[in-house]
Amino acid sequence: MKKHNLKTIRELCNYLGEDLDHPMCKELAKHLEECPECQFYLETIKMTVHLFRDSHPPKPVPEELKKKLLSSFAPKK
Amino acid sequence: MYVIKKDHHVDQLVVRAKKGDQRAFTELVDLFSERIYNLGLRILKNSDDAADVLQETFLAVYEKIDTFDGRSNFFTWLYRIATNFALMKLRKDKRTVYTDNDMEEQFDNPEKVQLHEWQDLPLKDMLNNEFRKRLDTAIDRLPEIYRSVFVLRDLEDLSIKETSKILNITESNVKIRLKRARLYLREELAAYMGELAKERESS
Repeated sequence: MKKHNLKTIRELCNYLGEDLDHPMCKELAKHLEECPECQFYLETIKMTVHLFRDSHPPKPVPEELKKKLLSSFAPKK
Repeated sequence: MYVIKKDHHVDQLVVRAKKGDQRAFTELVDLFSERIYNLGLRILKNSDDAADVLQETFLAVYEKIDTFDGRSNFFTWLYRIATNFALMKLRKDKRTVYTDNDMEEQFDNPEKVQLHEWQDLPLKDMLNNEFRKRLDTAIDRLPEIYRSVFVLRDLEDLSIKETSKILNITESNVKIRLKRARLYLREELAAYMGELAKERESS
C-alpha cells in the first residue's frame, strides 16, 4: 500500500469494527472517492464478510432431531 | 440484521413456561431451535456437535427457566447459554490458534495488506467445497473470542450491543475484535485470490 495512504487507511481501519456502511467522516469519504486503492480495500473487506455469510447459509434442523427434541419436552398424557 | 424486538407472544410463552406449562415450552423450542442449531453449526462446523448444542441448550433452559428473571431478553439469555455450550465443546478440540497478541500485531497493521485484483474472479462460482474448506480453516485459527464475535456479528447478523451482552464483553471490545477478525479473514481470502489469479494466468 502506498505510503501517502497509510494515515487515511489507519483511520479507515478504525471504522472496520463498526457496521461496514457506517457513515464515515467527510474527509475519509472524499479520499475514498479519489483513491481506487483504498476503495478496493474497503470493498474487499465487505466482500469477505459477504462471502463468509453466503458460504454458511442457514440450514433446517434435521427432522429426526427436531422430532426427538420436541417430544422430549411434550406434555405427558 | 436481526433486530431483537419486544415480542409479546414470546414473552407470554416464557411466562407460561416459567409456571411449568409444557406446551408453551415446546412452542419456544419450536420457535428457536433452527437459530440455535445454526449457531452451533457456525461455531463448530459439524452437524453432530450442533445437534448436541441444540439439545444441551434446551435442556439447560428447561431446568433454569424458573430462574430467568424476565428483565433481560429471552433471546439474549438463550443465545448466551447456547454460545457457552458451543465454546465449551470447541475447547475440547485441539486447535492451533493465534494468540490475542498475534491478532493485534498482524492484523492492526495496514502496511501488510495484500492488494491484487479480485474483481475479475467469478466470486459467485467460487462458493465450492474447496473454497468453503479454505474459509473454515481460516476461521479455525481464530482465537475463541474473535471467532464468537465474528459468528455472532457477521454470520448471525446480531448488533454490536447484542453481541456484547451475549459474550459479556464491552461494546468496544466487540468492535476491536471484530475489526481484527475481519482484517485477518480478508488477508486469508486475498492470499487465496492471489493463488487463483496466478493459476488463471498460467493456464
